[in-house]
Amino acid sequence: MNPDSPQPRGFQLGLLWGSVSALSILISPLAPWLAERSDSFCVIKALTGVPCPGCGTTRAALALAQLDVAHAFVSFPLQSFAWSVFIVGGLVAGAWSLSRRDLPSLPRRVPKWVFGLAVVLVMANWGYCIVTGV
Amino acid sequence: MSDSQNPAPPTPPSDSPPPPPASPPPPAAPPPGGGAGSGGPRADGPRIPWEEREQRGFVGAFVDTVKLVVQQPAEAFGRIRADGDYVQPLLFGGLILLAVTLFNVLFSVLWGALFSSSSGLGAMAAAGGIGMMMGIVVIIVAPVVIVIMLFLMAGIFHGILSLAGGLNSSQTGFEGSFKVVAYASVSGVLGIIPIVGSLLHLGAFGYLSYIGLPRAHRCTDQQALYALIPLAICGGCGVLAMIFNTISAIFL
Repeated sequence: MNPDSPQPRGFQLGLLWGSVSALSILISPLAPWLAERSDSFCVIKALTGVPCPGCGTTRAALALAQLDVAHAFVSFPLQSFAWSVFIVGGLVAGAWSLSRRDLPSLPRRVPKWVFGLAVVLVMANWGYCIVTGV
Repeated sequence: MSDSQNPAPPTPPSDSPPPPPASPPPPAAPPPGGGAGSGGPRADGPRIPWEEREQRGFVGAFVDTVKLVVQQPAEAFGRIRADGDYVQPLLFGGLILLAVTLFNVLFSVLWGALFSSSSGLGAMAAAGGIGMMMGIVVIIVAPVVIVIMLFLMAGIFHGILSLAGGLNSSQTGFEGSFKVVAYASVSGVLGIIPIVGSLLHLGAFGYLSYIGLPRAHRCTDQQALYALIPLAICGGCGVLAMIFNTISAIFL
């Protein structure tokens, strides 16, 4: 870091996040090719017949990459939401850093209500995926 | 540094100015629970060799970092400092994981060519073409996926540590979690071992993270263990899936 021109807080993080988001969009045309060759499976689902809470994350990414947004959100709502936040958040963070502004810092301790909400959302999404047969 | 290692200076004459402090103030008290990270990140002192590439050279810094993380992980992670630099640890972890990924792709293609039902030069040539195409795709896609995985893993560690109160004394923030994940990725080398390599990789990565998180964040060992729970569950399932895939590809 050059002491004469100090970087804003989280400068590299913002640029990296933004770059990864932009690259993810750029390589999205490869998604159909990858989807054809994707042979991942879930051990929990293979053994019990019930999907795990993370099932559908890869398929959500591939569906979003093919711009099949409706299918992605109907089939894998929380996974698609998380990917959308990651991509959009990265673009915003990258632009934020390029404008030489500090990134907001993360809280040292997550409030309990945020933790509770996250647990409820994951469980609800899991139940939805089980019912809809993801 | 303890006070017993700094003998008291001689008493000055009464008309002299007050003496300067004999030693810098002692470091913060260790966290409760006897956590391994009682030392915490140092603001000065030696750095991780990879972050001194200009002095050591690229290869020398890489080898020294691998040796330090493997042989003295506590010392290595104790050198983590928050300087806003994400690129250097990302480069280190990314290079290792990308090399391992490329190796595994080439190995699987060659394995498939050697043991495919059709034999001869035609099969080898077809495998070579597929391998080249796979290699190109891997070179394009893998770096992005690797960066996403490194940040995702650091985010999971950081989120759980935040829930468990493991960041109350942290001076490195998310950067500390990311650097632990990036330098612990040296365990990815074990991934080149057929069949059980991914399991060994997972175990070594978990161990290095368990050593590194308390050093980077001054959290307790127990809080670091909490952070590893999702890795154990999801990673364990993923490893089992890879082993099942490999065994079925070989024998079925």
